[in-house]
Amino acid sequence: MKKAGKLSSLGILLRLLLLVIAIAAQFSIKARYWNYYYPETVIIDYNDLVLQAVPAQLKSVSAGLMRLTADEYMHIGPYKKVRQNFIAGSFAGNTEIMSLLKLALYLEPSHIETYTIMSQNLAMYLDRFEDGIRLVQQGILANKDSVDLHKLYSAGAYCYGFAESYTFNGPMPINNDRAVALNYLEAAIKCYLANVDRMSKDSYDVFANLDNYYLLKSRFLLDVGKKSEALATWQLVPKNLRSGLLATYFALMEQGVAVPDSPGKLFEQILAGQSGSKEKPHPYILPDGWYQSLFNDPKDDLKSISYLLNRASASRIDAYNPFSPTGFASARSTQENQPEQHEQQPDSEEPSCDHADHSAQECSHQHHQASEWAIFSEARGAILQAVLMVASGLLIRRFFTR
Amino acid sequence: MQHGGFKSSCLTSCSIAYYSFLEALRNRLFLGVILLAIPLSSAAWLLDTYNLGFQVRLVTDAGLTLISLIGLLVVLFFSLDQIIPDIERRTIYFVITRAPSRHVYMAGRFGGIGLTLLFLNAFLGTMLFVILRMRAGVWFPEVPVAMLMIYLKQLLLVSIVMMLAAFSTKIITVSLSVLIYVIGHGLDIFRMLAERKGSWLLGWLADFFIFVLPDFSLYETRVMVMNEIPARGTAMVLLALYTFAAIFFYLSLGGAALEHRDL
Repeated sequence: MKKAGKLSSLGILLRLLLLVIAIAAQFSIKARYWNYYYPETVIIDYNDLVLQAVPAQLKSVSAGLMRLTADEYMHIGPYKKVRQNFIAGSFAGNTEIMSLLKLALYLEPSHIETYTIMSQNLAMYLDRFEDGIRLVQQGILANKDSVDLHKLYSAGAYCYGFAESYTFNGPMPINNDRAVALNYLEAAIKCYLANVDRMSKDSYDVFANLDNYYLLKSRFLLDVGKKSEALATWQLVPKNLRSGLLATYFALMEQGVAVPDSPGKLFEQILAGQSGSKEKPHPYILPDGWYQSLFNDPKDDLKSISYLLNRASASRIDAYNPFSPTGFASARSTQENQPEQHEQQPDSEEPSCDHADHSAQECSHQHHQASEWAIFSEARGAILQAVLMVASGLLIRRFFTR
Repeated sequence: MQHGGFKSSCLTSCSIAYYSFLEALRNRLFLGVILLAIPLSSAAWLLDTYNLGFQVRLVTDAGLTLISLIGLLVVLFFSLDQIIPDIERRTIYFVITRAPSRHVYMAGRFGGIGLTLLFLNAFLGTMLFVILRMRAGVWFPEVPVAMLMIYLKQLLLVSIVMMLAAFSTKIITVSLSVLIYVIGHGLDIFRMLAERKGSWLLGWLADFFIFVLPDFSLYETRVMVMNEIPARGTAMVLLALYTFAAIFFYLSLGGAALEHRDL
């Protein structure tokens, strides 16, 4: 009888064969479908190599969290205590987001928007022009097959084309280099046209699109002195984008009128011609009372929302439903009426009333409830829970202990 | 309970807490956690990738998140090491024969973890506070306030872990603790969803869980610190009262479960 567990030579050979098949399959799959397994990320040092070993999903989620945090920081704005030099709601000059976005790029080098935001922030606002351009080039290398590659080229064109406007009078001011910008822009147009079939309608970018590229290209061509090429490119710009000084300049060129070398000089000529005239029409029209929206204090909205939401009950959230008759609009109108009520009693700082329950009555000093002690009404759920827990604990100690 | 009995119980609890604290300090895992936290906290200097200067918001945010995460690890691993190994190794007999009741033993073990967490949070919080002061040049009183809130939150979680450890195995304790921790952060959202669904049963269940489970969202420090909103004294007092009420409740439950358990 054959001993159990002893391997025969046939068994060994069979196992070896299976192992060889498995290894061959592994290498064949990776060789044939290499683009699924090996991203285009440039591996420069051991850090990049280690990062390749981390699962892509994990890296993507982490990078997404970092971008969300950066977006949150952008909206919060500067830390008042340390007087940072940027404003809330804009990426421009924001130093807090740069480390986060850099880490996000390490983890997910295929996120094009991060490159564009960072490069423009570095080149235009943070006086790190070379770093910004290097980042764009790094992005181009890492996303050679991406549909959105044109956005990176256009970011490079934008940096080279307009950095001068954002530079300050430092020891080494940055000058626009429209010739280099033109190279980037041509690459952007080439990429855009090459990938136009792969683009979805949802991916339309207000700035990074073909029409804008032609517009910019015509402008840059003028600046490098190629007038006829600029006019030819201008013909590709759609009618709805043809406005302003540049449109006037090219319209004159089309009519065969002799124009100066640049639209800027044309503008000087126009101004010189109009210097005798005193009538200057306003360049824009604003609706009546437009400035009133500037004086809405967002804190008031926040206070009323937190007061109404108090532990996020659905019925209270309904109050902010714009389609509900008792919704946000009525809440806002009540709030907007309050300053008028205050104006009616200018002499008294604390208007008095003869009712105790302010929630049931319409009275002007409702906001003054947000004093130090209002927290007891705001946290009544937590207080009730705490009282119940203490009572339950005492009962447990009394009745369930031997 | 008579006054002398209460005093004796307190002394016994304190004694158990002190030795639990020493035991935790001598634990290699705790040393490992601290050694891991030091380079990570010091990495605030490395975050400045483009030489743009010290980024206060990022360092504060990352530092507090790190302290909270490390505290969570310590809570989960060290709270489990308090009761279950004592029962498995039968060392609990030596303690409960001297302790007036098993509640006292549980309170002592809780105190030990509380002291360990206090040490850890004080160490890491001070480090963050000093780094911010040195690099940004201003004081950040919101950091100690946030540390206090994180500490209260960790104490509450410890009481839940100890309650669960009193009547279940390690794996169940860890799983349920994590589940309660996650649910505790979104109780209001669950309640709102239940109300939206329109089912009275779901709404009733949500209300029930809101009163039984702890509300961890009360300990949210990030909005306060990131937006530089000063902490209100009454809110902190209320939060502390809420925490100690909840701790008392869960430890009572755990103590009662331990009392009725055949060891």
